[in-house]
Amino acid sequence: MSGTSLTKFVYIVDDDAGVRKGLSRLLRSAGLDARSFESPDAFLAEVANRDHACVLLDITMPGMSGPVVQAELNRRGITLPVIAVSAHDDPESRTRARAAGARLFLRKPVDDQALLDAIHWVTTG
Amino acid sequence: MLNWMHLVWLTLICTAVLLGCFHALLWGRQREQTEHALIAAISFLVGVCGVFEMRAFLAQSPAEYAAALRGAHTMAQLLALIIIAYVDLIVPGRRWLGLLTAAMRLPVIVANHFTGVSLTFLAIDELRTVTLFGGASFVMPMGTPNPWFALAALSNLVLLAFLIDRLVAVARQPASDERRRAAQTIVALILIALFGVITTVALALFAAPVPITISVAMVVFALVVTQHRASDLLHASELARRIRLTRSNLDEVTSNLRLVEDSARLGLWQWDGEGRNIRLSERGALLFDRESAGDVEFDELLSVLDPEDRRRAQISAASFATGAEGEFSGQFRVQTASGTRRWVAVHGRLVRNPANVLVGAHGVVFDVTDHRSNDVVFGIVFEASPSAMLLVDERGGIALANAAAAELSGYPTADLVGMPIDALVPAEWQENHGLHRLHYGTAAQRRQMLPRREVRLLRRDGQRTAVEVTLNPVNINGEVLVIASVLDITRRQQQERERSMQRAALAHVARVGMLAELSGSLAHEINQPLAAILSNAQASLRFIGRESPDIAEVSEGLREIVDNAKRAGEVIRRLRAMLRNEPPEFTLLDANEKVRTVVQLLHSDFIERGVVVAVDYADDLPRVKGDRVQLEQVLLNLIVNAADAMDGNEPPRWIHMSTHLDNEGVLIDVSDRGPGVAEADRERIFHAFVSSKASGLGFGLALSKTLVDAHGGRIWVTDNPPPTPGACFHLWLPAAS
Repeated sequence: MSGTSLTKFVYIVDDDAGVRKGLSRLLRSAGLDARSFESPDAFLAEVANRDHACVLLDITMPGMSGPVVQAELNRRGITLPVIAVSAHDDPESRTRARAAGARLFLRKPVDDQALLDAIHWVTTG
Repeated sequence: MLNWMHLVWLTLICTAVLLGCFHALLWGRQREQTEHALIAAISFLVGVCGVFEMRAFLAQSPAEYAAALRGAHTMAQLLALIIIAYVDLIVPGRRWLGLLTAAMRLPVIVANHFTGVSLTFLAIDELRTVTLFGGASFVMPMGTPNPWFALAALSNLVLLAFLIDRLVAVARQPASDERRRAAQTIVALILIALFGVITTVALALFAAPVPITISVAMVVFALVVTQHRASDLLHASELARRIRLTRSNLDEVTSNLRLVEDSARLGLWQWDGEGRNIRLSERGALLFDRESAGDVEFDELLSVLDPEDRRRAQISAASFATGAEGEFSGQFRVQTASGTRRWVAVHGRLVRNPANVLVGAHGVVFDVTDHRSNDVVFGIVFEASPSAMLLVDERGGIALANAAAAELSGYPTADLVGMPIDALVPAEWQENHGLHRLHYGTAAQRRQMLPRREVRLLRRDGQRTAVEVTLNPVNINGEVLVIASVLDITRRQQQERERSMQRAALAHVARVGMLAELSGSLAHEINQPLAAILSNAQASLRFIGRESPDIAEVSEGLREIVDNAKRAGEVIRRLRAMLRNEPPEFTLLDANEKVRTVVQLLHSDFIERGVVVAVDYADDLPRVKGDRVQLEQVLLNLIVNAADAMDGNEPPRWIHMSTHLDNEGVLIDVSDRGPGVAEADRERIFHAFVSSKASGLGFGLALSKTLVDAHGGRIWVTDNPPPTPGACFHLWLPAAS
């Protein structure tokens, strides 16, 4: 765990409003800052490099293409770590996660501790 | 020296002889006219009498006179006899009086010859000459009167009585020319008899200076009678002329009749009211299989009839001949010698004279084989029809029923006929019964076939049978009858139920298969709300575990949990419905809502596959009637097919859907951007287990069509309107009425 003075920041990208709200609330309750986007486009329009930040990206949503998002991030020189999330847990989803350049793949529903650990790990590692 | 007296008597004698010849000639021509013979005899006797009278008044001696007088008396007696016969002939009456009158003449003739010198005188002493004007003179006898003369007087009185008796008889006859003449004749004879009696009495008893002049009166009488007969002759010639005319009219009428007979193919027959002979015209004979026209015995006519019809013909003919009925009408089969059979119709009417006495009958006969064959064919077809047939009259009564109707209803055919049709309709169906409405409505006037309808038939045993009724109003002789064809559909309904269950079972298998294919994305659909619930719950726990719990966040989190739990429940409920295997239940459905549900179900699968569904929903769509699950299944199938068709495309893969109001129903279009369906396959894909894709059960479309058919709808495929590529599937469902 890093110092408590450091507030982590998470970009949440998920088309499901319920999931978005739930994840935001969970991260808030853990003292993290989060901002959620309902589509990759909305996310790409605002994303910027910052310290102690990561992306929580649902890889199964309309208009979502992992490689496209990754390529765009690369093009802009954004090196934020990506945690892929999906309600599916099948080999295909893992392949997608890798294609999106994700450091980690989490299956919904995500347990809070696993999520927070993952965020901690990618933002400090 | 000839004087006028000679001339008068000679004329009298000639006239009498001429009249005698005339009547004798007539009698020679018409022997049956005895009166001519009698009149001829009277005339000749009058002539002879005239000769004796002439000899009397020209007599030179008493002996000569006596001889002439005796001759004249004899002639007078013979005249009297013939007159009696004549009167008896023209006016029949008391025969004994006539015989008595005639018999009385015999003693008079005997007395005339065997007493005195004649009936009038015992002896003639001298002759006295009486001179008249113009140089004419005659002799009259003077002598002793013969007492036997009283016998002559008596016989003349009897003659008078006889004549008066016959006159009375004439008076009793109905007025006619004949009666008038007879009366004239008898009155004339009475006067002549009186004259004869008076002159003889005057001459014999009082020696009155008169000649004997019986012949004068008699010639007048003969002339009168001749005139009567002559007018008869005129009348007869007039009659003859009329008969000739009538005969030519008759010829014309006969030829007209023959024309009618030939052109209308009518045979004529006639019965004279007596005997058993029937007279047939040429065509009439032909129809009864006889070689020529003419009389034929009734029994012979019967023998050409089909044995089955003979008794019927005999009974109706007998009843007709008694005059009980004025008209005869019947149709019978004639078995010809050549082996063919024809139906003949016989119509006739009794003929009565003006006194209303039956004098015969006549009528026509014609061939009705064609009509009868049609009737027979109709009867056979009606009877043999496998579906129950009822002919219903305007009052709703059953006029005709076939064997199938009897079997279906449980009533014997004989009971059905005459029964009101309503008796076959259960009370609860009466209101809606086709026949009932037809009976009172306007449909019958329109005379068109009504659409089939399913109703219940009330059997004799009280059971209700599902039947399909087709009503066909027909006009028969001005009356609108209805042919009701009634089909037992119990079995069909049973089969339909079985098919429906098989369809449902198949649909279920297909659904389960489809859902199994979708299980990954269905899990996603549940995992999403579960993820939201878990996050919110853990967040809430953290907020509540703080030193100063953030109650606002906690309650907001709980609310989110509730919402997402409901969402998960809804997904599971829908899945359960799709997986359930229950008999179809038809309810009123909103097509838009069904589309929404299915699109929602496919949501995550399509996200994964890069398929995007866009729907144009029409407002104010009518409800459709159907089974919710089956309809969802059809839509699911169409949409998944559309997505599958675009597997080769780059995402995003668009599916365009729309709902429309169309032709009293709802049209749902599902359009993809795939390769489209080849023209040749557009029918086939709905019938066979055809699949263009490797995965999937393959019979989705065939199953969909079966389900849509069961809903009374239609499913088909077209190209998208160019230049848009891809296929467009159309699903049409009738609006619920």
